Amino acid sequence: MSYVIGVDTGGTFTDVVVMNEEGEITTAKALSTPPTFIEGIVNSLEDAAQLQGTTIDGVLSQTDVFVLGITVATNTIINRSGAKTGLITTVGHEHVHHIARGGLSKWAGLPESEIKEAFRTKKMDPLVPKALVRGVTERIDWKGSVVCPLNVEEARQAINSLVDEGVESIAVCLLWSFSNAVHEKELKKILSETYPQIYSSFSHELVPTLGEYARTNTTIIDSYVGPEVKKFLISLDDLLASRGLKHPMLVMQAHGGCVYGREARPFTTFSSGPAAGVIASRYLGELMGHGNIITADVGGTSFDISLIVDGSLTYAREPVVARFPVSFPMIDVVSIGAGGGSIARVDPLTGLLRVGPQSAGAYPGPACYGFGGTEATVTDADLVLGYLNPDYFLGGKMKLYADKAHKAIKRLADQLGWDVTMTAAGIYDIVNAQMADLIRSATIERGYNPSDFALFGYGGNGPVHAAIYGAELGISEIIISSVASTLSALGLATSDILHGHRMFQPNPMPMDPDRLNNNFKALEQMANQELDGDGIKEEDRIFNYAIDMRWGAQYYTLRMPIERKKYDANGVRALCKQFDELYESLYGKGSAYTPSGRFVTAFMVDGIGKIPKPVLSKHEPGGADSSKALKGKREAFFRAYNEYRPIDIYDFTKLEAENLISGPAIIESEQTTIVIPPGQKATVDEYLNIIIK
Amino acid sequence: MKGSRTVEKGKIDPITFEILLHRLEQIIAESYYTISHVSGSAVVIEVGDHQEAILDNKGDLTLFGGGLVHWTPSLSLATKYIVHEYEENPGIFEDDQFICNDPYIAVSHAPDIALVAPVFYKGQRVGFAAAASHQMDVGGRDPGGIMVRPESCYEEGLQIPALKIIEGGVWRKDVVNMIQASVRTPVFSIQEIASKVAANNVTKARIVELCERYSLDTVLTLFGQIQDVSEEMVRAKLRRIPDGKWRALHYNEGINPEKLPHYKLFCTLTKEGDTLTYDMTGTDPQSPQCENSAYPAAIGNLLAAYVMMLCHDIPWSSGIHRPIRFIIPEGTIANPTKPGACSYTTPSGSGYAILGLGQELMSKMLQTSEEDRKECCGVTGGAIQDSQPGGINHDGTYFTTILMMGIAGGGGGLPDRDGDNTAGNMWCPKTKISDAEMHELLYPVLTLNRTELPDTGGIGKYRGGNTFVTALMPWDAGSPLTNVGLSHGFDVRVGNGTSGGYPAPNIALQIIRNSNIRELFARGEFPRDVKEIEGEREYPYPKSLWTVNSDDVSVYWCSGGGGYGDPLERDPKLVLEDVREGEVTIEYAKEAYGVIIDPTTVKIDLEETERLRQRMIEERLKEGA
Repeated sequence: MSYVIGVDTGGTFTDVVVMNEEGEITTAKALSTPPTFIEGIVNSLEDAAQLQGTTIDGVLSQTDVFVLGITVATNTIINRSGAKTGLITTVGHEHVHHIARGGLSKWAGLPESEIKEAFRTKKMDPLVPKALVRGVTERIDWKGSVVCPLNVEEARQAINSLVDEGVESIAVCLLWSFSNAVHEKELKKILSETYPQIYSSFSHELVPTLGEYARTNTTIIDSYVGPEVKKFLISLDDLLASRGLKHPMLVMQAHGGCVYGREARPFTTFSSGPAAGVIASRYLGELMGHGNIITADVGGTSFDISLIVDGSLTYAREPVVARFPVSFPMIDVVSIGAGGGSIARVDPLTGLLRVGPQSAGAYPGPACYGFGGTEATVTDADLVLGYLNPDYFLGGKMKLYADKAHKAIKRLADQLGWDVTMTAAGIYDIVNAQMADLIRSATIERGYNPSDFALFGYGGNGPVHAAIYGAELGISEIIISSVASTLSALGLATSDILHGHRMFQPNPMPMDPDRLNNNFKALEQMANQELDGDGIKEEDRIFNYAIDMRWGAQYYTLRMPIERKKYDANGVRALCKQFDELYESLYGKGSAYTPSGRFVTAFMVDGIGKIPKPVLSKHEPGGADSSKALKGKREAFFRAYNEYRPIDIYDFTKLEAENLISGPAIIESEQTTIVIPPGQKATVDEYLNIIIK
Repeated sequence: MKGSRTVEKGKIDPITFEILLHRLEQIIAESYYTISHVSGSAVVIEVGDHQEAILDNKGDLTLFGGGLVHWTPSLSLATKYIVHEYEENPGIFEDDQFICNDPYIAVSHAPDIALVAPVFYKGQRVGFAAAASHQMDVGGRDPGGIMVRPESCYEEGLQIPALKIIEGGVWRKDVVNMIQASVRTPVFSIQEIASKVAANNVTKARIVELCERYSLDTVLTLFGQIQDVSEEMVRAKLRRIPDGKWRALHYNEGINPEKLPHYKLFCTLTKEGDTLTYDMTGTDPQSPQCENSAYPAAIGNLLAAYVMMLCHDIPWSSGIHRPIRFIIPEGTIANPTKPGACSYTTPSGSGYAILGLGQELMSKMLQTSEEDRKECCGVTGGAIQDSQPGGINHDGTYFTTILMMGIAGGGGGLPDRDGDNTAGNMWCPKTKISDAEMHELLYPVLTLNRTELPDTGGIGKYRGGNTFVTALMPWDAGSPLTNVGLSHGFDVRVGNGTSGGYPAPNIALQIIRNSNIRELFARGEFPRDVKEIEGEREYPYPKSLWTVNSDDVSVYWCSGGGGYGDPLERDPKLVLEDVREGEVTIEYAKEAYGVIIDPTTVKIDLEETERLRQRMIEERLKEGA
């Protein structure tokens, strides 16, 4: 037997997915154990091994691929527990991280409602104090020409003085280093010769992109979280090796590809869990024949969505980490504060019902948890409406108190002058509308039609709402995976290695084809060398090309994936046409303004190393009749009836491929509840996913 | 059990209302996103100098967005003008769009160009979409849109009350050609108009979808109901604030100091029941030059702080304007009569002073209300020092832009904490400045430094944020660069404090002519401080037009935030922390806060501090007597 393992740690639970060579999946959950997390990982692996009838060493010694999703980087920033970090930058620009583009860090990453209270928004506290910043004499201009050479002696003194201050890490970000890295390279040489033990980060290596503020943030963040993340990855890798894992462990990165844990640049491990959920959706989509997917993850406090278009991931245009704008590629996961724990309240000024963005969190949580929460939440409304089973939450491991939910909602109802049912239904409607709006803003606003997409609903609270907001948007199919609650771990188990490289070089289009070919050749060579090092076979390597383009009279660039081939003059002209079409498809006919000319500004190559992975196993069809899975009836309220009626309840684990369920119905498993409203139908596919239409 | 709830006749039920309000917010957000991605102007994209709105059939605002807050009455005024004047001739039809930039009708000055588009559903007009942004050149006397030399509006370039530029979805060639013939940047100017056409197209399409989904009647009802709800909410807030009268006085330096050195802008805010009156009686007569703010600009600027401080949690519609009355005497600098010139109103003319008045008055009023006190603060970025260069760019074409780094003003001190350093301005929640690299890529300039400076925030119990100094020089320019100085607050204090807080220091401007900067570079030296640069130091009048050559270095000292509360009440520990972090110097700690810190041990001498503070209070009392 050989295994592929995905472990997602950092949330309340550590999830593990073990897939064997037949494609059979075993999942397990264990409580996370911050701050080290390693114990929780071992516990979850032990549980999974037990389910396979073996030991942790037994599983690990037969594991070909082990992929990890972590939040160590995120936690380090949020807890401000990172390394004492110094910054070296261009003289005169020492305060780039503090000026923060004149207030951008006051509002970047905040919801609109908070941004509007403009005089009270506050800049993020800097990660590097001014006292630990050193400006060195050097300057490069926009063409990449040296205006003033690096003063080496001064640079040495700057480094020494930071070390004297006791810094553990040094971040180096000079102006225009992405265009000419000569001075950063000199600093790297000095640092590695004089203080090899100090962790260091160089902007030209991490993110060769225009814009010194986000690039400096990225470099600082890498230095700040670097020692902690490195230590964690190395000690876990050593531990796993000592327990029998033959191949080094892989770690998921924000852009959705993996690298070997020991090689990972720490800053790339942000959001690796959410990224993995998106990867899993893409994997399932490929199996099921869906190229266009909306991933919708409803947790306790937030609703996170991302898009997969034609089988490709979408990336954030202005990525933000812990409210710091950064410049590295991250899968575009957008969120709003709408989850099971979102609090409903009556606006004191207008008497209108509102839901969120405040959340009761996991503790005290919704009133029905019985942990002392008294405010009405979305979960309380779901319970009052009969969607949740008070005796079968987490498979009965946790009791829900319907009376407490009722009481919390009654308080709102009294203020509104409505009854409890209408108030609960109102909360349900409002949160569904908010979810629909977020999806709308992520699809329609970018020129995509939701009806061309399938929606993957996951996270513990997602499937209660998915069918409603999905129908509102006209989404073609709503898919609830049989592993919906551990989807991120599945994503880890089904990911590939990815090395991204980019080069900044502005050229008016049509540009010289030789120059273009040489750029891509150089980038591909870098990725190739890394894939050599990873031991990926030639035939398992894929190289994706892309360019950033804009109009001459324009500012923003548009990323355009292009064919991997040798370009001639005609090929370059065809790229211009491809750009025009892409532009008009996004901004409407006539928006392409050709008299201003076109420019290409950057070249990108993603080198992907395919990791062999088993295919999910299929199940024998059991016919349309789903009555075997029927476990009883429960009173539930639906708008279409405007009253409570007895509704069929099904056991998710007893459903068979091809089973058909007509709404209204509720499907329950230990980890999730699926609501199928009146008028909609659910079928079970050969992987035991529920598909609602 | 049956559900029941009551819905007032002719109104949308509260749940649908909440859902639809949310949807309109999303539509505005999408429009905001569209304009910035189609535009080619750093002022629009990197600084956020634009605004989008949805309006009802009469031209009242159903909802406006988080862009430039002081433009919002203008989008309504522009639409009302079109409805009032053009209903019959030339008519308002499906897929038409109108362009307007006449500051006497709407907008702040000619470079602020608005596009207004009617929205139709099945042949019936539902309302309007509107988008405005600050464009650069509009022709006229000085390049770049903001001018210093005009003495009447007839010298200020394009003045379009409203022209149909898109007819039935097609650009009118006659109008486009006329505009292109009138400006210095014909290609760029049309690209900027196109960005607003695209934004309105998006808004229109989404409203039509809303009508499909919820019916025309629902949408028409919604458009009115939002305004009623906003009005109710803001009146409820006003009722909980004690009645009173508050006064504020600001000055704005004149373009020609010999004619009249400073213009006085005076405003009395009266709060009575659930109404507010802004009365600018006592304000100086209009300027013979171009610092005037026409009525639309004046009321917009007065209201910016009201919108963000009092109405941040209320839907931003015309409803929030309803409880307000304005008294602004005609013929003043805040309500000039034609042909008074207006191109300099913001960010350097009377418009900026009015923004400051608005913020100071709002803080004074909110200070009296228990529930709203947390919103008040010292004036944020009350002064400005910026530059509008023009000339031949790297690529040989003519360019003009506003650099806009000067809007990184210090934040005003708040009742519970200090203002942030280099944190923003008074008129845009999504405030930001360009990266230096972005400026250097797009324009022929080199940014020598951007350095935050100690002691530049207004002092107070909670101090205003500090500001920064930045020095620039031409780099790879194809010609000498002209420069329109954009300045307010170099000779008068405008970054006022509140509740006993002090104003921030003034801004300043210096040009080092024929400097040795390139020799320094050649020797491998880069100045750590502009003081190290040799050359002829010149202090041009900041509100004028000048030219810089390739070796001239321009140095801009920007604006700090106003303080909150009495600086002698500031916790000495906070002063010590400021000294340690380089935000306040040891000398200033003593002079401004009465806190004695030993320079060698960097510790507070508590006894001496106590004595000094007592003495300072006594001196104040003596001065008062």
